Amino acid sequence: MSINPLYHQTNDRMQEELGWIQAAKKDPEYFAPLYKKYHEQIFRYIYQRMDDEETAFDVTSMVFMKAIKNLHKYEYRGVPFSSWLYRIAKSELYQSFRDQKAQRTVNIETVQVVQVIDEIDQEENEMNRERLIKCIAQLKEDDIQLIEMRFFEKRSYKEIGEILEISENNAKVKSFRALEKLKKIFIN
Amino acid sequence: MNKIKVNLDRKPLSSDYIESKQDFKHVTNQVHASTAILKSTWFYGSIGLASLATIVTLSVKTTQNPLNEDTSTLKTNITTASFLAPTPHKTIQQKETKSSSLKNQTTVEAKATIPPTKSSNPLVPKKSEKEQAHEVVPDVVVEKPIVKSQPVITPKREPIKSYIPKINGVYNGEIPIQQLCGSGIEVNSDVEVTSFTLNYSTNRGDKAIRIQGNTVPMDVCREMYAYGIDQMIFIMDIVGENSEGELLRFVPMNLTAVMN
Repeated sequence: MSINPLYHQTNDRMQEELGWIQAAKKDPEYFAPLYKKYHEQIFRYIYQRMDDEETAFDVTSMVFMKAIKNLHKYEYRGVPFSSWLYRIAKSELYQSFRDQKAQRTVNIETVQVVQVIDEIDQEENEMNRERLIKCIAQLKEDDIQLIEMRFFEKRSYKEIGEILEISENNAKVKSFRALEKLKKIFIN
Repeated sequence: MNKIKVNLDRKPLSSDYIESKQDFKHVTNQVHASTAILKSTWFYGSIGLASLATIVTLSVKTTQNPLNEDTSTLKTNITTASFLAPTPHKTIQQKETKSSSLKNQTTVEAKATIPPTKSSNPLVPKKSEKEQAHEVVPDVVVEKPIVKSQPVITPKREPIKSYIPKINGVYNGEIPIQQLCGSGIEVNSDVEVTSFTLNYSTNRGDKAIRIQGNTVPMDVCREMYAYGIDQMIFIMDIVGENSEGELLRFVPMNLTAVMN
């Protein structure tokens, strides 16, 4: 599993980021480097979960707008700033689904489907690929989220834990259970 | 959110393309705009004035005497009747169903405004040269009053009871979290809310719970507070009971719980 260098940062980088945050708390214009740094990954997180590109850009803008507005409430707790942004992104994303501005979508590549089939110890063929796609759509939202983050977005358990505000171990257990549920649906 | 769409091998977007869509200025402008509107006294002032105007208009409409309204309609008709030389009789006849005092007034005014004319056809008065020069103007105006002359009688309405659920007077929009947790859902004095479904966000994901009673429980408030940021909450399936024991269902509420 690859490591996301933008998420898992060195201490120096995190300190630099904290400096930007402190400055941005006084003047929103200083939020610019944080926006530049995280815009793409927040956009990709949102776009991965919806169909419409323009809506994804709009929701991304909303995330940063809310982040700037609520920056005074942000406190450093030893986790990267992006986990806070992901929390806002998640909230805005689900808001857009509730407002019916966007439809919940799971975007998968064939390679990822093959990897998941391999994870659930099934034979890889055309029929099973199609079947797995249908099974994913039957999962509950929480399980889809975990499968998406772990297997499609290749996030580490640490990162998943910090985004979902659960421990690394819990993220591991929950991801495993989600995969088990997928397997159960697939077999039945 | 029930239906999930699955896309296979969607065309990926390049980093350059995503970067080209960055617009930090737009984001900061939106932040400034939203805070400026909320901070301005004009915002609250205009909302207050608009509400006051609505209340005054509504109260005036409901308390208005229908007889007065008819009188004013009549006066309008009579004024316009001066242009309606061929049909003054008709207009007056329509109003004869009203009270006798009104009838007299109408006849007198109509007589005064329509000068007697010598004409072969009594319905088409002969016009002088001066009148003919201005003929175009009355012709245009003649069409309008015929529509206006229809008497508008609004039936008396029973005062309407509000059936909109509110928490501390807020039905929709921002509500401080303290107020959300401190006050219960109220509809009107005749109705008591007995249960509702609350949909909110926590650190562990979105939650939907069914609550008995009309108040948001303290443990839910703690969870919302721990979430830390302003969030949309939905109060749905609001069920209440009136004094006659009838179960009533109310429109859902969409609130933003603000931390300040």
